[in-house]
Amino acid sequence: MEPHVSLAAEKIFQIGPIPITNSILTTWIVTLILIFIARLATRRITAVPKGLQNIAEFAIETFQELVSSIAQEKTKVFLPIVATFFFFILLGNYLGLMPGIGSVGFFLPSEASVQEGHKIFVPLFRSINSDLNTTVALALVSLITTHYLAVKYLGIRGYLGKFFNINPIFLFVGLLEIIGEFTKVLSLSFRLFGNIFAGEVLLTTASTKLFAFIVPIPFYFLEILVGFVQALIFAMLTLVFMVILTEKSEH
Amino acid sequence: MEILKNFGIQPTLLLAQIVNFLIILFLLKKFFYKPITKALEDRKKKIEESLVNAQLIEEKLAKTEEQTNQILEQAKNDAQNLISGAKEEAQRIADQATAEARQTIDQTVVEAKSQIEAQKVQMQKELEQQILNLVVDVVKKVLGRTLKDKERHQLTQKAILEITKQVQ
Repeated sequence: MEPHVSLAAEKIFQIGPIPITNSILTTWIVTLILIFIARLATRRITAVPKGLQNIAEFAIETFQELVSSIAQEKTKVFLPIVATFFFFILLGNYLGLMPGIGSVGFFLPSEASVQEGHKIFVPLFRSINSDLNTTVALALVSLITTHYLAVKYLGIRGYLGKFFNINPIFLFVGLLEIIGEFTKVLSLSFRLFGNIFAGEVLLTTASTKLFAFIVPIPFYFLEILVGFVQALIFAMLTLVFMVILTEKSEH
Repeated sequence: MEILKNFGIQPTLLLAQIVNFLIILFLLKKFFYKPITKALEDRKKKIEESLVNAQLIEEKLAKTEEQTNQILEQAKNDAQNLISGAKEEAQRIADQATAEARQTIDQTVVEAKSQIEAQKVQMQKELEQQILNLVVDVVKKVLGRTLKDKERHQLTQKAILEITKQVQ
């Protein structure tokens, strides 16, 4: 019986009409950890920071500098969104590397091969970004908040003026930009999904088809790097899209 | 839409993830970014204030130091003046005392001189008288008679002259 990572997240159980997949379960864990850490870091804010508050301040300050270098006066609005994307994706990616995620599960009889007595393995938890639902959801949130902020900063006229113009050349450009907005969702979601899913497959393959000891360690380091880089890329792209779309058009 | 099914895309799951993320966004914004950024800003403000205060204190210190120096300088000058004044006064007093002493000495000397002079004159006179008497006596004995007034006077004059020459 060959272990393999299925492309779609597996359903664990169902609440009413809502199917709960293993990636949804992991998302909840990520959410709880994230909120817990955030609460712990800001429970007692002191003038002289120590422990978790220090780390949180360092992270926020670094992000603040990064965001304000591009967004200037809009930093205060953009920072929470961009930073949340980063922290959520980063924690999701790293949690996916934890032992037990993707390896603890149960066996279900496969529908296709039930006659042959084959069973398929269903992991209880699944790295959140190796489910396209999660990454598409993130990309949609990124896109929608970007457009919402654009309307807020430019007004509805300025916002529509970015896409529609009487000048035929600019009208065509605007049309391309509308298409571009949709491809943004695809590129954002598939980039993240592809990287993390590939990582899962890589690790599974390395530890089952090659050798389960020592050999996967370099791949784990690689995945730690990828997890960080992908989170940063997603956050930075969101930031850049926001800055570009909330800027007043010259023409 | 076969591809979506292959990837396991389901609207309910999508919605669940979106809602989940929005909840995280809301909670983190409220409980994480706001307090942390506030703490950062507060600290920044405090540091800026402290720096301004430090500069003020430094300026004040410099001013105080300058004042102290000025006061010290003044005191030094005063002391110097006082000392030189006292020196001058002492010198003056000493000079005066010297002058007075000299004057007294001079006076004493002059007095002594005049006294000596007077004594000398008196002694001369007494001597003159005695010599005169002696001469008169000698002449009386030699001549056996009293000299006439005219002779006597001549003799006396001569003798006095002679004696005075010798005495002097």
